[in-house]
Formats: sequence, C-alpha cells, structure tokens
Amino acid sequence: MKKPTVGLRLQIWVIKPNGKKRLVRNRWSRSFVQQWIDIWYSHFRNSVSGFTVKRTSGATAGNYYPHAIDTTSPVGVYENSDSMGIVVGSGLAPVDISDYKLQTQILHGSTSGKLFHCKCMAGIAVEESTRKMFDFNRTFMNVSGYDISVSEVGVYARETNSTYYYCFIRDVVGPIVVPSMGGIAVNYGFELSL
Amino acid sequence: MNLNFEVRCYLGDQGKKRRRLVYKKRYDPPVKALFQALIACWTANNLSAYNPVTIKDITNTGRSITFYTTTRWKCNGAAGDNLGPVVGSGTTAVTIDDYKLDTQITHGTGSGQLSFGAVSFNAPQTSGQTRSFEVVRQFTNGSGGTVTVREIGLHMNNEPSSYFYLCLRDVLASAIDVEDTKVLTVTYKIQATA
Repeated sequence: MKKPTVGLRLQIWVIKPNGKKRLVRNRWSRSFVQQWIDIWYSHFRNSVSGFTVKRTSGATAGNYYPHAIDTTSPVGVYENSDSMGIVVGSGLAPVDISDYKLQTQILHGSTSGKLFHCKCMAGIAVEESTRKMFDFNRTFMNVSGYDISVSEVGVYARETNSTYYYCFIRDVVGPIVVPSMGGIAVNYGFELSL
Repeated sequence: MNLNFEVRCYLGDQGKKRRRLVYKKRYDPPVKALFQALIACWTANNLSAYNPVTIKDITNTGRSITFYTTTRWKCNGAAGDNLGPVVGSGTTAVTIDDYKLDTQITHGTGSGQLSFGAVSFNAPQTSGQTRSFEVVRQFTNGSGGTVTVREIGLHMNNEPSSYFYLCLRDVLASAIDVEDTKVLTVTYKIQATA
C-alpha cells in the first residue's frame, strides 16, 4: 500500500539569456529543517512560553507568537526581499536538521555576486481525488555581468506583523551556473496525497 | 520528502504508568484541511488571491480563512474539548476529502462515551537528523462498559475562531476495545528528518 505523502517537490530551471528555460532539477525537496517543526509546535500548543524558535539571524530570544508564517511576498517592500520567500545561495554543505539559514546566501541586487530577486508568488491549488497540490515559485535574474553559481535553495518565512524570519527548508542542489543576463527559476510544490 | 505524522495508541490503567502499545502507524493519513491550513498560513499576505481560502469544518460548513484568522493553528484542547486528538467508532475508509470522523465518540461517562483528558505536548527534540514533537491525549473509560475505538483523528482550530477542522484521520487495522476504567492514550508525533 502506498504511504501517504506530505512533502514538497522541487523544480529548478535555468533561464538562458535568450529567454529559453531548461529544467535542471526535478525531485522531492529533501529537507524541512528544525524551525518547521518548532513553529508548528508553537502553533499547536498555542503558546511560546518557555520555548523559542531560531531565526535566520541566529537569535532565539524574545520569540513572538508565530502568527501566520508567510512565504510569499506581500506587496511593497518585501517584493524583492532576500529575507523571505524562496532564497538561493552558493553553499554546498550537506543539509543538517539544525540549519537555520542557507550556508552562504546570494543577496538581492544587480552587482557582482548578486541576483535580482523577483516576487515570490503562490500558484493556484490543484485538487484531485487522492492528491492536493499547490506551488509557490520565484525567479532570480542575473544582471551582475558575470556568471553566478547557485548550489543551495531554501525557503525563509516571515512572522506576520514582525520582521523575524525563519528558515523552513534547505536543499543542496548545486552547482548550477546562472549565466550572465540569464536567470534561475525555483518552484516548490507542496503536495499531500493518500 | 522528509515530513511525516506518526501515531501510536497505548492502553493502560488509570493512575499507572505501565501501558501497552496497541497501535502504531508511521505515516498517518493527512486530509484536506491540513493542506488548506498550510496554504492559508504560507500565503497569509496574499489570501485575497484565493478570495479567501474556505475550509470545511467538522459540521460540514465552509469557513472563510482570512488574513486575520490565520494567526495560529492549534490543537491544545482542554479536558472534554473537541480540540486535539479524537477517536471514533466508524470504519469508512479514509479519503483525502474527509472533514470529520465517520462516527466520533463523544466526551462523557455515559454508555459508549470516553472522558477526554486535556491535550499535552512533548517539546521538540532532535535525535540524529530527526526533529520531532508530540501531541498527546488520554481517553478514560468511565462508562461502565467496553467502548470500541476504530478510528482516530486530529482536530485543529484557527485562533481566534471556535471552528474545528479535521487534519488527520485513520481507520485502525484492528479495533481497540477500551474496557471500563481503562485509559487509551493517543500520541501524534510530527517529525522531519534531514
């Protein structure tokens, strides 16, 4: 009998300078990390008393209630934020359950070593008789003038109504070369099935 | 894919620590409300795109989930409360669209009832590359007769509303007879492995 699934599919495309896309990774995401479990513990017990969740800054003190944990970009200042949503990096260290950030994050920008972060967006939920799916995705454009190597991807969530960020997911995928004047598109597909 | 919900059931005597494992399933079936709760949570700032998410509660009534009601998803039921682990006597096979137990056993000491204890939690722990926490509830039989449990589930609630949503449901391979004065303990372990 097939075991029920709660997981994330990971797909990555490289965008060539001519705009054509090539699928370079298509597999299950390997890792929710510690903060995912810790946030849900706080949610389920409806309390943060005596318990903290580690932020991407490394700080753990003074935890707020973990309100809605948003991974998509709200309009305005967060649209191009490298603090929340799908993020990318150049680190190759294997995933550890205690990871609380990418090893070496590639920041938003258009200068050397940076990728321009487009808005992190959610797709429409797809429902079948034994499977439910929903995607969220982000495109990163390389306008730095140099090729950039992406080796890790992940998801940072923002605590609603605060500026605290948590790493939920980290995957080591690289290296993947993002050509100058090209880009990389990352899609995480949440899937629940019986 | 590294996330799963494990369920274990134990039978024991009131006031005694010794108990017997009577059921265990490593991959407990998730149902639709869990999927929708995650969408609502992960896209909190963009819920208008879904206009908004509507989740069916255990009374078969669709409830709109807006930005303001995604704050916390909890299952910290008090004694006698419908929130948290629940049990039932139904045998209808699980489908992903289930929104309630087939036939829930209600709280009380009358015939066919079990007394629901308060939900407790075991804080997150890391073992090797696995991070997990547990949700625990005891059901005590004070009915004077045997009560047979054939299905189990987990009810969530979205703060601050008072609606209940079924997020996990399982029909047991073998029924559990809870004799008078005995205690059934249901433990859900939510875990991620890197």
